[in-house]
Amino acid sequence: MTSATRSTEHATFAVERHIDAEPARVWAAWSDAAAKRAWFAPPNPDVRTDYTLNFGVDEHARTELADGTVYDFDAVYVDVVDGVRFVYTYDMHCNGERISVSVATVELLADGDATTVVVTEQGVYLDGLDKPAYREHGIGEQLAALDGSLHG
Amino acid sequence: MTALAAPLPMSLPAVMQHLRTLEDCGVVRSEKVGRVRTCHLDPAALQLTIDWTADRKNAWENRLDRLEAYLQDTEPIADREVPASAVPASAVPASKLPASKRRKR
Repeated sequence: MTSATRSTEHATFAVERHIDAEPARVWAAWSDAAAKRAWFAPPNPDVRTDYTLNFGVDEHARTELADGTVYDFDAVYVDVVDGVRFVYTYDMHCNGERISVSVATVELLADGDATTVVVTEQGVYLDGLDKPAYREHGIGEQLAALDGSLHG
Repeated sequence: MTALAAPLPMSLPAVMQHLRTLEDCGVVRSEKVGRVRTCHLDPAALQLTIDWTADRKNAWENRLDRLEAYLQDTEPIADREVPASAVPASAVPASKLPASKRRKR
C-alpha cells in the first residue's frame, strides 16, 4: 500500500486515572515484563500478539488481526525516574507503513496508599489519516474488543 | 482576509501565513473572487484529528481499565488487612511486598 498524499497532523492528549493501589505496585505493573504483558498485551484468541518489554530500554508489540492487518508498536525508553515517571518515544506501523510517531510520558503521583497515573501523549500522525483501513481497524476498536473479551 | 485579521494581534501577512498552513492541512479552504478571498472551515479535516486522538485516548482508557483489574487480581494478601507477619514469606513475592516502605511512614 502506498500513500497517494502526504500529510502530518499533530495532537496532544492526556489520560488520568486514580488507582487504588500503592505506587510501588503500580510501578511494578509497568516495569515488570510479565506483569505488563498481562494487562497491556493480554492473550486474545482473535488476535496474534508478539510482545517484548525490556523496561528502560525498549518495547515491541506486533499485533496481527484476523484479516491479516499487522500493527507494529516499537518504543525506545528515553527517561526513567524509578517509581516516579518514564518517557518513551514510539512509532506505529500498519502493514509496514509508518502511521505515527509519538512521545509518551507516564507519571505516577502518590496519593496516600493510592496512585494517580497520568499518561500524556504528543504525536504526529502521518499520511494515513484518510485511510479507511485504519479507521475500520483503529487501535481503539481493537483494544475495546480485547477488553470486551476479557470482561465478558 | 482583512476581516479575519482585524481582531487578531498580528499583522495581515502573519495571518495569511497561518491560513496557508491551515489550508495545506486541509482544515481551511479558501476561494478568491475578484479581490476578495473567502475562507471556510472544513470540519471534516478537523474531525479526522479528533477521531484519531479519541482512538488513542480510548485505547488508554481500556488499558488502564485492565491495569486496575490486574492490580486488583494480584493484590498481595498483606494488603487485605491481614498482618504481614501472618503471611508465609513464600506466599508473597518480595518484589510485590514493599512492607518496609509502609512501616517507615
